Amino acid sequence: MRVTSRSGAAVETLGLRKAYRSVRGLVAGVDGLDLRVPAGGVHALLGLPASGKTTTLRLLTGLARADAGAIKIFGVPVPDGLPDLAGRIGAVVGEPGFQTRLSGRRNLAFLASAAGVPRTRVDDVLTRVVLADRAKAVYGTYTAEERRRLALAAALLRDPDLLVVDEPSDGLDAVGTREMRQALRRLADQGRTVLVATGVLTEAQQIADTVTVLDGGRMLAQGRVADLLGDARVTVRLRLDEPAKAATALRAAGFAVRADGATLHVDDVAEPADISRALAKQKLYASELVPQREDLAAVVGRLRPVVPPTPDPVSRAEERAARKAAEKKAADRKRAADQRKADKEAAAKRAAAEGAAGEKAAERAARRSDGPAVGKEVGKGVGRLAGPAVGKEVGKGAGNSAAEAEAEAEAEAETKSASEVAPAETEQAPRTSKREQRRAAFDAKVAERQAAAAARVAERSAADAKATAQQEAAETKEHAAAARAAAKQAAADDRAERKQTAADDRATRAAARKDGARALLGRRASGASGGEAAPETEAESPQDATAETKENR
Amino acid sequence: MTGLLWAEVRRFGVRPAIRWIAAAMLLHVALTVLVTAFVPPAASLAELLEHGRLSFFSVTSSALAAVLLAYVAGVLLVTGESASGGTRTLLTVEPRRGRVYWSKVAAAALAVVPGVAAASALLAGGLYGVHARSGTLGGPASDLVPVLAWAGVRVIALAVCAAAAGAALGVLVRRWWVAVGLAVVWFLVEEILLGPASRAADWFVLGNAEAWVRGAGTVSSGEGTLAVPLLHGGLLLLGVTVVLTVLGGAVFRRRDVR
Repeated sequence: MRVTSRSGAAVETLGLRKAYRSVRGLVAGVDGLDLRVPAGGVHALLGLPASGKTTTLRLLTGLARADAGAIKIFGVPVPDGLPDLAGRIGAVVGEPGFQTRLSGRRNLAFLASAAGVPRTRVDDVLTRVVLADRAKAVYGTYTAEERRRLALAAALLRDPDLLVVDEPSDGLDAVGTREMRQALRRLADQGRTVLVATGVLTEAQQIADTVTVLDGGRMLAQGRVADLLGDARVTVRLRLDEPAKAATALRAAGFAVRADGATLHVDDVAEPADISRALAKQKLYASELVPQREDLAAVVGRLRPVVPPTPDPVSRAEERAARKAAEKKAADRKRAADQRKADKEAAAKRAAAEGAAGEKAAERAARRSDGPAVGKEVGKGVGRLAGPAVGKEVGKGAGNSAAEAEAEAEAEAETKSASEVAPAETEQAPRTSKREQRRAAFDAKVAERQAAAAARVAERSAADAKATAQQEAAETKEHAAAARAAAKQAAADDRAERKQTAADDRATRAAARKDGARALLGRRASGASGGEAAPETEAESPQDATAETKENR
Repeated sequence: MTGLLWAEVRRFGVRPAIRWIAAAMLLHVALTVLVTAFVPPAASLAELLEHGRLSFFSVTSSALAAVLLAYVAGVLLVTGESASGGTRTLLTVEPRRGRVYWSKVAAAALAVVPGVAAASALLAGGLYGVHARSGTLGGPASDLVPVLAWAGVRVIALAVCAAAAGAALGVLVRRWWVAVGLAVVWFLVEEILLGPASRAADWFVLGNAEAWVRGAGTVSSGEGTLAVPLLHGGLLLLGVTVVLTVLGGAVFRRRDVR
């Protein structure tokens, strides 16, 4: 075997990209493919139709040029280095285009002449692909399998290290397919690297050592066949006489069962014999048990990355409705904010009015206490008013209702007004000393703080009152609920008692009837012979007991 | 390269379409000779050769068919191979695209030579025989034969250029009917739409091809005569052929092969 790349890979691609123009615009043939084909063995490019297999082969063989990305074959960049690789790559991509009027041998001879290969090599490759007998026949008379073999012979003309084959079993019958696969396997066993593009899962499983799974031009997975496809899950198809019973039994045994009419499908089965065992335990026997291997679509679906579902595009009507709802919500919010603002303004106005009333009250109080003699007396009066008496009143208010608190606050406001009025009157009195002025100012500040404290206390008390009211309401509700429950219980007890009483009455009546009957029987017995009476009495006893039980119930 | 060229020539030769084209060309020449034999000649062979009025080589009549057939043959070589997948298979065993392309162009050029040469020989021999029989040779055989041979060489050269240009155009357009249709459209534009009175008539491909085939001293054009019609026509045709083949080569190197 000849030299391979340093990495030990026959083929390496990096970010390979190829798009085709179509009536619908650019269509991605290969999209960012990072391929690595190890030297030696069979590597399969596996994928559904239009997954980019043939495009990849065309790019590798230089038949098409990549839009982006890089390719290295045996460490030589492609397509620039393809002349250096002449003779090291053989390819069967698409129809070979042989002349139908010429023999297979002559067609190969043309190619050999073009490739500079000696004529003797033609016979060698024809023998290798088991076509020597038909070598002189006209190519037009060849079967599909023979045509395929001749194409393979053409690819082997230069004894390549890398053999690229697109859909090797395409158009072949079962025998031809088997022989083609065996031929490829033999070539790989001889040390060549065989790169096969196939859409047949079993083909990849049978002949490939490594595999690359493609989907939509992208690589889904790459690795050993045993790792990627070897654990292919088995679905078993079952037919039985009692499918429902069998499904229940299999589910109980831990199998995933799908019912399809009279047929059952058991998914993800590691060993189909387990199903037989599980059914046999229930004395159920399958008339048909067919293990179905995972197909290529299922493998691709399993390997395909899960894409989060994209939300459905919103219709215009939905958009309009959402916009209206948002607008309505914003309008509601604005209205609520306006309401809050209005409430605040009203509260502020109320506080201002109360303040003015307080001022007037303080003025009145100041006039009452000192009359025209202002200054020192006014200050004193204010001090007296704003002192312990106010505090006492406030303390009371805190302990009382919200209305009382508001009244107290009003009184405090009046006091504050009085303290504010005092300096003005002091100015009017020329005899007022500075010390008195300071004292008045101090008193006014104290009154102001006390008024603020009173307001806070009033707010707090209002909140307390509200909470108390809520608590009381809750308690009232609880009491009402308890009362209702008690009434219900009482009613139920009454009903039970009445029932019991009725049952007792019925039992009493039954006992009385029984006694009456016994007495009657006794009388009859005494009138008739004594030997017949005893069994008759015994025969009635069970009936009576049953009647008693019924009544008790 | 030689092996590749030889393989391409042989592949070209086995194509049925090419054989039919060669047969049509020979049949046309034979018919021309027959018609000449049954119609009394108006002038001697020497006069016909001097004025380049050999009926078969008149571009506007019979010579057009031979050149066109060579062109079609060149087109078919490339487009037929491309359509059947032969080019793809060839590129898998010989990935050097430049070699493959030039071998195809050369094969097309070479492959038409035998057919056109045979046709030229048949025509020359036939005309000589007809005029000799009627006693209207107009000169000694030693003078007439070289002139007839030189006329045949010019026709073969034109056919080679036509085949090479056809192969290049086949690479460019990839469909034979497009390439042939382009030639027909070109002929219609030159001959009917523009006409020989056009100012650009000196650069018409068909006009210069006629001048080349006639080999006369002067050829009428729109504003008189071409000064050196033989050299002018030859260079123009060669130039067109070179441009087309180089362009085809550049495209073939870059283009995806189906």
